[in-house]
Amino acid sequence: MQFYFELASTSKIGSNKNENTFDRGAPTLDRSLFLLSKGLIVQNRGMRLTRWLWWTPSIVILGAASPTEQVDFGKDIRPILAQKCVPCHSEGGSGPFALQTFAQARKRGDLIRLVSLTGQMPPTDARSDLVSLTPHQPLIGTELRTIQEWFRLGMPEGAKTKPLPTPEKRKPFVSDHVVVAQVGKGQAIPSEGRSATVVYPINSLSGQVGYLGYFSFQPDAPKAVRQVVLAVQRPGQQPPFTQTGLRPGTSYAVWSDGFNPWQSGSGYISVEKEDRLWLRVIAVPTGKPEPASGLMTFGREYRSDKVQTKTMGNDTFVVEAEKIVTLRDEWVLDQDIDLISILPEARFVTDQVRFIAKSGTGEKLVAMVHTWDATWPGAYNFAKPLRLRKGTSLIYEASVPNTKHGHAAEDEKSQTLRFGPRSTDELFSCHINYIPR
Amino acid sequence: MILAALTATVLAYQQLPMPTIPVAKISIADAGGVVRQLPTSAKATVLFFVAIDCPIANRMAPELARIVRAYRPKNISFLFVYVDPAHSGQQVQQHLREYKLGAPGIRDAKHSVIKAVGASVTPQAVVLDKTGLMLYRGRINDLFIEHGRSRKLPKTQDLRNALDQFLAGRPIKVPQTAALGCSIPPLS
Repeated sequence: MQFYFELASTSKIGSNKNENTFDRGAPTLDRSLFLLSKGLIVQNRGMRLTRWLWWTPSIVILGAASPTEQVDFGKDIRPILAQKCVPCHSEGGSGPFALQTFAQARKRGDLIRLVSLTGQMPPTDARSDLVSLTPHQPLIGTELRTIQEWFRLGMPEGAKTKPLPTPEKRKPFVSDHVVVAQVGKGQAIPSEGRSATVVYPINSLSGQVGYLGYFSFQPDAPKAVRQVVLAVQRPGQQPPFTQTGLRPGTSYAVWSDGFNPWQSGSGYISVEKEDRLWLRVIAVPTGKPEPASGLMTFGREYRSDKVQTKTMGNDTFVVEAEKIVTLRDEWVLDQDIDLISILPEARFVTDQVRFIAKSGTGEKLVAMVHTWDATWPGAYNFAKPLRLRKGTSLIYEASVPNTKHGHAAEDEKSQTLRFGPRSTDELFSCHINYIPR
Repeated sequence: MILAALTATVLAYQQLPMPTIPVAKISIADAGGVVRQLPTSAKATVLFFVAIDCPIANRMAPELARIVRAYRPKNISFLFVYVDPAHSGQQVQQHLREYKLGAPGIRDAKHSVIKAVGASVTPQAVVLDKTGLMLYRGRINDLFIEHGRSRKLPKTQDLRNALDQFLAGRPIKVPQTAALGCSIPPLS
């Protein structure tokens, strides 16, 4: 089985071959809509001056309404919801409300229209030039047009349909090699704030793990919990989580529900008897206290591969007020590696993160999250390990528009931005799980 | 721009002219079965329009509860108006308890209160004086800027300002603001 990639191609980052979300058989109109919607996603937070662009799709949409076949819920909207929304927006799911019936969709019609058009939903996706990565499915042009048209027609129901089924909760897989444990009893997520972080140690599991093959989490508060990071404290080390992120070099695994079913858990890490496990729960407060606890599952896999963790970025950056900068860090590989997963960390001013591989022959996008959203953090796993050759430069970049347009609130004045623990501070780091070859 | 246009639409819809005559007298049973009369005999009545499954209204809940605690001793009466007829009285009671809202709630199943005061989204506040004259209609504060974006802390406490000005016997400077949240769909 071969899976390494040689940086021999000279094609540039811009010529991305992965735009397979667009149906090439569709009329040109769809393509322009699709590209516009892409542009719109990129500009979502950073450059509000270009919002005039947003008009264009809606004008085109109105002009393109087909007079013969009327859009309705049962025939057109329900299949889109089933594929792109209901995985989270179901009874008991991580979305704040369900979208399984006509009545539920009609109630949220204006919101569905708005957040689909602005690219807020489905939440942040990532793409790569090199290997498939979290195949997150944004809405494509025809779907956007259908939603707009449905809303314009006053949200007709069409033929009566059954409620969409609630996705089955995946039961923990149980075997001798799997550890299942209820953790975090009594740990609470505060009721208010833009985002919240709860860190706690797991004392009951010391010495039970062995080699960690995968990690999964079933939060007791699925609507609040966005991401859970499991990290290992080695003997003699400080606890793995600092006030702001992970200590460099820490072994970690990540679970993010918001990305299901587009993303699975973790990389591979070894846990020895004397190690201590910690969890960091990142949540969006819901208005009442919620538990930070949940059911944790991990597999004890015995592999010969030794996974290591590299932390890129720095905590010394300074971004002056009203400046737009790109923060950059570079790691030149001194050996061949297999890249397994990356975990970017940033907060509210950063609007895009990129991870680039550069060799003598060209550069390629390893991964890009094109609309960074601090309330939807996640780790990005490669569908299969990506081999990178010795001598390759791995470059981690974050765009930080420290202008009032770049802030979560446009009228929040921009100030000198630094690394720090407050939600108004910024982070610039990326943790990388890899196996040396 | 579309956002701006949408906001403008919402604004246009919300900024119905403030009624200059008292709103009609309404009597409606609360979720506990007690019949509530509007307007109440308190100095002023604050109606909070909320929905059990509106995440924006829910995230505002701690502040709503604080406002109830702060102003009830000043003879201001509070009533939570649940806008979705699909939710039962029991669900309303449970929601009031879960979010510790500290005031009674009604299910406005026929949208009689919503129509009488021109409410359009949750969360939204309407303040009526003893005679039923509308003193304020709009957002609680400016925590939310648009869907998916919020401030770290609100900058303007619109409802608190209006209540403070009313209690001090001064005219209310900003009697109407645009509320942002989940729109209240018309009854089907």
